[in-house]
Order: sequence, then structure tokens, then C-alpha cells
Amino acid sequence: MPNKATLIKEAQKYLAKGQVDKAIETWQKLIKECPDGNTYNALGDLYLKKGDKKNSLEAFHKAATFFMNEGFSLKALGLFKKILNINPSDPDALFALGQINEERGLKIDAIKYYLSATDSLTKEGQKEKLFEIYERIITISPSNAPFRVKVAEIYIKEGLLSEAAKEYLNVARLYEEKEETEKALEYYQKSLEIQPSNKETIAGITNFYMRAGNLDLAIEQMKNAISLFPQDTDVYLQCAEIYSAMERFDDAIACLSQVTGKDPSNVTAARLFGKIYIKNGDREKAWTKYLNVLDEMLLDMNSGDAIELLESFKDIDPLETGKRLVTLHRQHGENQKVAEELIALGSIFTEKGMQKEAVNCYREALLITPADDSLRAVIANLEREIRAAHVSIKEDKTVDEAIAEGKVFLQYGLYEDARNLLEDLREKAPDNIELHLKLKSLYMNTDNKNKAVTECLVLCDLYGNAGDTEARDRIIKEAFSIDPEDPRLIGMGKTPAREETVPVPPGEGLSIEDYSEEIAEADFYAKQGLKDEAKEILEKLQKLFPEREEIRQKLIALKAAEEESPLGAEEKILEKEITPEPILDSDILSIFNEFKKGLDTKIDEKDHETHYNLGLAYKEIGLIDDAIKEFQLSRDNPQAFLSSSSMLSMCYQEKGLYSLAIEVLNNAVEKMKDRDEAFWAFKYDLAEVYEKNGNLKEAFDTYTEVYGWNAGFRDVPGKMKQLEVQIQQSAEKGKSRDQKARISYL
Amino acid sequence: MDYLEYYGLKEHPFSNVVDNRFYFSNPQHSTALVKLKYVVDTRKGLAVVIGDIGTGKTTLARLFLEQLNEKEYEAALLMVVHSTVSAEWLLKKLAMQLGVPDVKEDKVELVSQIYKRLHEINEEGRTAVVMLDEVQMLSSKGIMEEFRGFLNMEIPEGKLVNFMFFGLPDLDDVLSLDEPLRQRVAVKIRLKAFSEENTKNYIDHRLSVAGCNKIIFTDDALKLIFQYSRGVARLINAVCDNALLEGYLLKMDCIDGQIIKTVAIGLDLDVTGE
Repeated sequence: MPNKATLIKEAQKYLAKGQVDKAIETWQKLIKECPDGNTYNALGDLYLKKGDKKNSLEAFHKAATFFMNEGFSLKALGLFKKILNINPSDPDALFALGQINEERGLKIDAIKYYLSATDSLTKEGQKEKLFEIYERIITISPSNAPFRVKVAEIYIKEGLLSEAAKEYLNVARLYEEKEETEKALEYYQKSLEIQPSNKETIAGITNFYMRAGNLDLAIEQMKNAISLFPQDTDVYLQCAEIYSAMERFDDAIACLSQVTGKDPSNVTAARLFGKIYIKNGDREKAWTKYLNVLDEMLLDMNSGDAIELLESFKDIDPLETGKRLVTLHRQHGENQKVAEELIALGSIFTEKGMQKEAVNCYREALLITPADDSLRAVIANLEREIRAAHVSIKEDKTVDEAIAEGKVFLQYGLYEDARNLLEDLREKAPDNIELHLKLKSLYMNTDNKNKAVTECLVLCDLYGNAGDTEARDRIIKEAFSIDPEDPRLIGMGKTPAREETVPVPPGEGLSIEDYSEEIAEADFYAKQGLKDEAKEILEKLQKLFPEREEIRQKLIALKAAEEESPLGAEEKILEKEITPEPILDSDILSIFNEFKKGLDTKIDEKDHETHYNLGLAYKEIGLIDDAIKEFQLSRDNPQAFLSSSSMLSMCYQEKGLYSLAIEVLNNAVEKMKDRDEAFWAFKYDLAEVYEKNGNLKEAFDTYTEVYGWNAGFRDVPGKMKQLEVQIQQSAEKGKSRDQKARISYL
Repeated sequence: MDYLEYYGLKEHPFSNVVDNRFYFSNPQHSTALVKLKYVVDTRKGLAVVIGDIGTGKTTLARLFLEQLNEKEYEAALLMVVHSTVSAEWLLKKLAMQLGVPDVKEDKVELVSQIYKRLHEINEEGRTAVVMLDEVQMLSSKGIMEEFRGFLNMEIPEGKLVNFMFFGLPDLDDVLSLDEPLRQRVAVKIRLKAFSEENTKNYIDHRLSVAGCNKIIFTDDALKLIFQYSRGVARLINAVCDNALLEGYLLKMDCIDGQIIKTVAIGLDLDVTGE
């Protein structure tokens, strides 16, 4: 089997002879040997040369897929553009361009291509992919109601009623948000007509009626829903809310009883119960309902409402409301209110004979108001009473009870009480894991890192003794997270986060070889494009081994790659590049215009670097016209002027537009102030274009200028000699030009 | 880029497009030119040049045309490109080439116009020369009779117009369509293929005109070029042009016999007689 180079030569030979079929045959052999994007692209060009659009498109598609898979999005973009040049309605190319634009965050362009793709797919009858694209468009722009209506209509045509109902529901919601109630109702009803048992639609239309104040219609919907979904608590809840709003409390309670019968801890039901009982004037019943789910309720409410709720039930349950009010006020830094609530709690505990608890409350309050002598006196009195009674909490309570109490203190932020209780217990039950966990929490809450780590270490031993290695490892990790600098943790292992990225400092006798894993990891990151991660590891290793050349080299390579990485550049372009414009039919255009409202705009036309890079990509894959367009734009930037002019001149030459190439180069030369090598290189290029354009004298004169600067520059002497001959021959040709008119054809 | 730069050539040396700059002066063609000039200057009326494909008939015709300056000669070269030419169309074209103003459609009027124009040329002191290439395609007795008619137009110095027919060996048969015309042939020249020596000189000459002064084809290659082309100039051009392209693709500084053979096979030439 001939190798790649031989096959390429063979194909070139056939092409040079104009034997396109044979060139294609050879190129196909080459593709069998080494299929890649460039070979498919070349094959596509050959087919195109032959006029075989079908095979040309197929080859271009394969090339584009290769480039996409290899991450060369720019080249893929160019290929899709080539495809659209041949077939402007190619759905795959339009879809792919939509995807590329979507990835780049250019929503308008993405939608434009997707819409064009749907148009083509519709015409071709490819329905399956059509829906996929609709979903994508909706994801990009979820609030386009007309488009969703169109999609719903198509779903109906295809018999996909559930999907259609869903879309109509979405449309109804969108109109409702816009306060276009008539339209909202219209689409709710359309959705319901298609699928009368759609729970979401029923809920939607019910809410709509509720918001519109039409409770009778709302309740009718809910009755229907209950018959359809008798086990659904949400339906009963919604129904109860409507009854409650209608002040039909008995019916509401009946619905809520259905809910709690199925889900006793349902917070919403409990709240609604409470509301209804309050409306009925039965606050105690309301509080009983609330108490079951009080903490969940408070979490759901904003603090103002929560405080208001608790205050309203203070007369019914001062202890439970007081405890929670302390916590809420503390969360908001309302120290004075905290103190007031603590003192109130102290009174309640005292009344209940719970002197210890009362003292704790007072002590907490005293921390806030240290100048309150009367409070100090109250505490002193109570403490005397406690001592006199020789009551010991430690003796009265079991360890578990005490821990439970400590938990309550912690929960309500009574840290001093918790500390007194739990630290006392430590002597009594030194091996109690639960106790040490509570102590750890206490110290963490009071920001005592040292003691928190101590508790972790104690727990580590306890877990170790119990053989629970998993818990032991977990507690070590936690200790590291509390204070990674704590010297007691040295030698206890690395934190998980550091295990992955940070090399351990070298100990005595450790060499670079001991860090081979870290180096390999850095290499891996670098290859994956995670340059920051790779750099971080390498920089740390460099600090440890400053003399190691290979680390230095890797860092240099990494930095260079950051600056020059084509992939990096490509990614950069992908954020901003311009893509070919699809042709939109008028009805598609109207939908598209809907999308444009409120969406982002296209990239800045003046993004010169992007245009330049795009120009290079287009030129490489043979899209010369597009390359010219990009270089014309990038040339506006003074920094890219020379490079763009040079590329533009090359593109013009490829199209045989020598006079334009001459104009571009002349313009560049005129603007160059320094007579450096770059200037003379432009001059040389200019002379070459003059030569190609048949401006022999201008070419000769320009070469002569270059010769005057540096007689050894490129092949100036050879070019001048060649031109001399040509000028002479040209003069001779001119003489005989008239005679040629004497020849004609029969 | 093709092989030009690689072999230091300014232009393609073996193009089959007729270009007088590449004309290879060889004894056979030189003799033919002298004979043609003799026919014109002595107003003999009709000369015929017959040769196989690629032997240089068209080159000779164009070269001869260049030699006829406009002050002394009203010369035209008509290239026949298809065989369905009618006598009327031929006359119209002839009239136009000779500079007849307002060419009429009617054949009688047209002939009259041509006759008048030929007299004008003659009175201007110039000689009318009409050359026709690929005349074997005009296989029509009627057309031949028309030519004979013009050859009957005479002045004391000789014929009023001189025709130079160039064509393949079939031209003999075409002339036989009108025996009186055949008998009016004043000079008949037969061109032959190049000898091996001339083939070599021809190649050297064309390379030299194209700007190459070094040896590109080995002796072995030259020998095979002659063998495969049988000295036919057009085939020599085809073989040499393809060989230079092949040599460039293979990056060979010299074209050897192996390349020539490869190329000849590609051109479907007979290589069995080695």
C-alpha cells in the first residue's frame, strides 16, 4: 500500500493534469489510510471542482465533524459555511452553526440558525430532529409566547397532545405574567381542552381564577381536580385555601384533614389550620397546630413575620415563644431585645421552679447588660437558693438528659449555659462521643478553634478505639478544616483538598523523584488545558526544588502556551466570532424578530483580533471571499494593519485580483514610517504582484529599489534578470500584435 | 507553483499552443518557407502543405503569415474548425478577411465584392494571400470549385489571389474532388516527423527559449522521447511537458528514461517497441 506522501503526490499530479476523477480516486485511498478533517475538506473541494455537489457536501460534513470533535471550532465553522455556500438550507450545517453560536452565548445568532434549520427540516419532513431543535430554542428564549404557540400547534399536528398541552400552559403563564389575562385564560383553556386531566393546567387555571377573584370558578376546577386526583395532597391544600378565602372554614378544615391524614407533618396544612382557627377566634387550637411544625414554619417565614407570629402567641405559650424569640433577636443583633427576652424567660423558669435554667438566662442577659445591678442581685439570690437546696444537676440528671439539655442551650444560642453543663459532664463521662461532639460544636460556635481541635483529637481517639476508621478519618478532616495550622495535626495526614493539588513540603532526604506524581499531575492538567492548576503545582515544586531545570522548563512552556496556545486563541474567538448569515423565510423572520426583543446583541464589529484570526481560519480552508471580508475588517486596527494587509494581498492574489493586491500593498508601504526589513519585504511582495499582473516595468523598478537596499535580499538579482528578458520579449510581441488579427476561424 | 521555478524556466517550453518564439528552425521547415514565398511572389496561385498530425503545419502557417508584411501583402489565415462549412460562409469569411466593406448575403454579389477587393489590393501594389489550415475538413466539391473559380482570376503578373492549403494527408483526396483544381497546385510540400537528431535539437531549442541553459533530459531520456513520439512535434511536447511535471513532483533535477517511460504509459503511447 503506498504511503501518504506518495498518494498526495499522485493526487497532485492528476490534479495538475486536470484529471479530477483520478485525483478523487487517489484522495479516497488516502482517506482510507488516514482520515482527517483536512483530507475530507480537500476531497470535498475536488468533488466541487467536478461539479458533484452531493459528494462534495458529504465530504465537507465529514471534515466539519472531524474538526468539531478535535476542538477546532473555527475550522468547523468555516466548513459549515462552505456547506451553506453550496446548499444554503442544509439542516445539519444550520443546526451545527446554531450549536456553535449557542455555546458562544450568541443567542440571537443561535436562534436564527436553529430557526433556519427547523425550516429546512420541516420541508424535508424530518420531524424527530425538529422537536429537539424546538426544545433548544425554547431553552434559549423561554419567554417567546408566539413561538411556543407555533410549537404547540405542531405538537398537535403530530398527535403529541401532552407536549402541546404543556406548551399552551407555558404560554398561558407567560401571558399571565404580562398581565394579559384574556390571552392567559385562552391558553389555559386550550391546554385544558387538549388534556382535561392535566394537573398542572388545572392548578394553573385555578390560580388564575383565584387571582382574578373568581373563587367559585376556582373551586369548580378544584372539585374536578379532587375527583381526578383523590390522593393528591397538593390538590386538597389548594382547595382548602380557596375555601378559606371564601370563609367556608368547615370545608377548608375537611380538606386539610385529608392532607394531614396522608401527611401528618405537612407544614402548609398546619399553617392553614392555624390561620383558620385564628379566623375562628380559637388561638389555642391554632397554636397547637403551629407548634407541631413551628420551627419549619419559622424557617420558611421572613424574620419580621416570624417575630410577629411568636409575639401573637406569647400569652398562650411564653416559654416556647420566648426561646425562639431569643434566637431570632440574636440573629438580628438586637441585643437589648435578646436581654429582655432572656430576663422574661428567667422569670418563667423561676416560676416553674427551674432555678438553674433561670440563672442561665439571667447570666446571658447580664453579659449583654453588665451594668444591670438588679439583675446581678436576682442571679445572686437564685444561686444562693440553688446552693442551699444542694441540688446538683449532675446528680439529678442522667448524662443523656444533660446532653439533651446542652443541645437545647446550643440550639438557642445559650452558649454559656451549654458550656457550664457540658464541661461539667466531661469529668463524669469522659468517653461519651455524643458529649464531645456537642462540646466541639460549642467551641466552634464560640470560635474557640484550639478547643474545637482538642475535641476533634479526643473524638479521633474514641473513634479509633471503637474501630470506626471512617468516622475517625472524617473527624481528622474536620480538624484540618477548623485549623489547618494546628501543630497537633502534623503527621495526621493531609487534607483531601491538598492531597490533590499541593505537594507536601520535602522532608529530610526527599528528592524530586518523590514528587513524580505531582509532576505527572501537573503535566496532565497542562494537557487538559487546566493551566492555572498545572502552574500552581509547578510553582510550588519550584520553591521546593529551585535548582531543578525541568520544572523551570515546564513552567516556561506553560506560560508560553498561555500566550500562544492556538486552542486558547480559538476559544477566545469562539466567544466573539462572526458567523455566516442564514437565509430566513419571511414567516420564520417574523418569529425570529420576536426573539430579538430583549436578547443580547451581536459581537462588536470592531473586534479586530477576532476578525484577523477568523480570516486566517477561512483562508486555510479555502474560503477566500470570507477571509477577505475578515481581513478588511481587521485592517482597521493600527496594530493589525500590516499583518492584515499582507494577508489581504495574498487573498486577492489567490483570486487573481492583482490590482487590488497592489493597492493594498502600496497603501501599507506608504504608511510604514521605518525603512526596516519589514518595509522592504512589503516592497518585494509588491514587486512580485506587479510581475504577476503583467506590470513588468513597475515590477522591475520596485525590485531595483529593493536591490538598492540589499542586493542579497531574497532572489532580487534573479528576478531582475528574468524581468529584463520578459520586458524585451514583451516589446517584440507588441510589434507582431497587429498581425494576429489576420487570423480567423471557419 | 508548477515546475517552472524548480527547473529555472521563465515559461512553459512545451506548450502545444503555437508560439512563433518557440519556432524551431530546421531544414525541412526552412525549405518549405522558401517554397511558399516563391509561390506568393510569383503569383502561382496554389500551394499545398501536407503533413501528419503534429508535424508542424500550423506552426509553419503562422510563421509564414508573420513573414508577410502588411505593406506588401494582404494576408489572412483561416483556420477550419469544423467540417460543415458551406461555400457561402467560406466566401463571406474570405470577404471579411480581405477587408470587403458591407459584405452582402447574395452569393453573386459577394463574389463580385471579393473580385473588386482583390483588384483594389492589386492596385495598391500588394499581393493577396489566403492561407487555410486543416483544409482536409472542407471535403466538398462545391467549395473546391469556388477556390478554382478564384484561381481563374488573373492579371498579367499572375493570379489575383494566392491560396496556401495546409492539411493532413487526406487533403490529397479533397483536392481530387475537383480535378482541375488539383492540376492547379503549383507547389506541394510534404512535412515529415523529426529525426532523432532533430528531436534532440528541438527539445534543446525550446528549453533554451524558455530560459533554461542546463541539461534537464538525460541522453537516455531523449532517446526514448524520440522513440515514443516517433519525432512528432506535438507528441514530443506532450511527453516533455508531462516529464517535467513528474520530475518536479519527484524532485528530480534530471529527467531520466524511467520518467519518460512512466509518462509515455500515462499518455497511452506505444512503449512496446523498446
